[in-house]
Amino acid sequence: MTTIAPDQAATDSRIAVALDGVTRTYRSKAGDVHALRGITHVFPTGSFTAIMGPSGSGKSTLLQVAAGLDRATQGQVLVAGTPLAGLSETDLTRLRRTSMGFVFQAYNLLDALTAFDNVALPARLAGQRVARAEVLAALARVGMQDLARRRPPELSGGQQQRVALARALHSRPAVLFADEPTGALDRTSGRQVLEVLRSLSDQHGQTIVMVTHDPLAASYAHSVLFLADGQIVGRVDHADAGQIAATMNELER
Amino acid sequence: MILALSRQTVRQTWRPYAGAFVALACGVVLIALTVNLIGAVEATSHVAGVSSADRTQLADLSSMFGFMAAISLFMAMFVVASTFGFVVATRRRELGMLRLIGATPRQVRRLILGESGVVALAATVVGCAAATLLTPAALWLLRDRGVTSLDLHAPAPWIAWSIAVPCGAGVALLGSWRASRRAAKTSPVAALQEAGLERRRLTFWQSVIGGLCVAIVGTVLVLSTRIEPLFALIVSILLPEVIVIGCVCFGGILFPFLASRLAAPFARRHVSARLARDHVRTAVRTPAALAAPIVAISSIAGALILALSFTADWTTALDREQLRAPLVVEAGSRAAGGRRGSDGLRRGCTHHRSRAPGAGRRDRGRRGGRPRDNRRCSRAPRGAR
Ligand SMILES: Nc1ncnc2c1ncn2[C@@H]1O[C@H](COP(=O)(O)OP(=O)(O)O)[C@@H](O)[C@H]1O
Ligand SMILES: [Mg+2]
Repeated sequence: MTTIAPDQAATDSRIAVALDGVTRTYRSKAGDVHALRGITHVFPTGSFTAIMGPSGSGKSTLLQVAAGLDRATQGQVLVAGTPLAGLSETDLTRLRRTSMGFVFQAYNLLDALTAFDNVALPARLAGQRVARAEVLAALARVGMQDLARRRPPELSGGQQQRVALARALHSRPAVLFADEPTGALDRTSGRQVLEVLRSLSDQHGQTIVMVTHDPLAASYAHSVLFLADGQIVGRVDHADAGQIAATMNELER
Repeated sequence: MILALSRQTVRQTWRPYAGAFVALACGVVLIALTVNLIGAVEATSHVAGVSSADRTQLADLSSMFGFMAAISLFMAMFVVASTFGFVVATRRRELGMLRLIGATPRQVRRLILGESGVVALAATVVGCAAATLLTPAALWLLRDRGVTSLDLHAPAPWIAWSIAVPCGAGVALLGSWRASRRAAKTSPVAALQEAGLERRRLTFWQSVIGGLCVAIVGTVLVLSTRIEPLFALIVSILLPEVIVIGCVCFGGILFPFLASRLAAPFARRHVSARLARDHVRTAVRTPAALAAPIVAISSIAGALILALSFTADWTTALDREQLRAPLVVEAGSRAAGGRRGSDGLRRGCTHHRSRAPGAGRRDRGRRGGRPRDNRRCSRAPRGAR
């Protein structure tokens, strides 16, 4: 694996997220847990990457460190050209506003707000004026324009996930982080969400980093990284679900 | 923008805020009533032909109301604090989500303070309106009960409003201050975490203040047979407050324990009862937050009933022969969670009666012969004078 010169990554707009020798160690009384043991990887702008690995391999930790939600013990993280080390809580918040979107397994939305207001919320928090048409366009993009006035409790799990995607779409982040976005969904709505993700990437050039343990979900991505014991142990590009599952099995042996 | 979010949150999920609303509204009503009463007394005392005895009587009355109002505002602050502590603790995930999608710690803090502002607004509007409507009734009642023979006239309502509104707002702000600070500290990672088990641990100040409250209650219990009747009355008014503060401090341990004990017989028989019990046992703040307003409000009510019966009988004491079981006093104090307090009170009274059997002999102007149970103990201060 190559080392990235920070100034090169900072100026290169083809790089959405760069991790350079990142480790993350959780200290506890029972002993240190090395969740990440030296990750170096570049997520190019417009790429759709899936991260797979057995439970406890560090997938979620990797996502959190890459998003600046958790600090790396060692190594460097750059998002949209900005090094995360040394940023204050408020600076990080500002960077999240402009550069990052998030979709998790569930509970992505505020129950008190309608789908429309949920989509508009990041822009409003950032103090920007919200154009109604743009919010509705984002909702239409995920097929939710008719349910814009519903609140999350009145939506199905899949519909909620799509509203969360519309929110990310509306704020046009440099990178969209997704942790098991289909983990709580049935097959059909899971597939709808994955198709939306894929088309965001293909048609809008949206950079996506998605953690999943489902080979079928991973097959929607352009490339799949395999993680084991806090390290990247393999990678496949443009593979179908069968190939991904086979690689998984091979690596787990 | 944040305020709009606060408003929407309170409107959509109003249930947890109901306790804070009721407590604040009660406080505002009492403050506004007090102001009106003092205003009425002020205006009346300047009218010619008012005796100095009447004036003293009226002044006593207004100070009693002022005392009650202060207590209820104080209690309201505790209720608001426990409500918002609960709201913040149960919304960790949501607050984390807000932080994640771009809310700064300050914005989160403003959100919580805004929510308390929304509750305060509703409570002051309702409270002021209720107080304005209640004032003529209260003045009539004072006259009807023979507390005063003077014609009291309510002052312009805006005077009471201008005092009650800042009081209500200030109490709401102070009450939610700590919770808002904790909310601001929510990390964005909280959005990814399960709403895990809450720790059931006391903070330093919780144990100190709670221990102090228990000590006070214990001391009063031990001394209850020996204290002076007048003092017993004051204690009986203050003790519920002490108990409430103690309950709030130890609530995180006390209420889940009580709830699970109460649920035990049902839990053995029914699975949903078992689930409910387990929920209550693990989610510390839910039962504590739900119980605190109830305890606080009933203690305000209990203390109020005591004080009112006290006030009424201050001037219209009654004959010993018509005394019967202390129904109202007992109920009022028990609702307050202040059973001990009523114990002390009862003993104080009994004690007093045996010492001063002729307490009612100088009574004047008691109308009707209806036995009024709640006056039983209230006779004490008169005898003590
Ligand atoms: N906050 C934490 N404190 C201590 N250990 C942690 C913490 N978060 C994760 N870990 C540990 O780090 C390792 C990787 O966790 P995680 O990234 O959640 O794995 P995955 O998402 O792949 O299942 C696990 O061994 C886990 O126990
Ligand atoms: Mg995980």
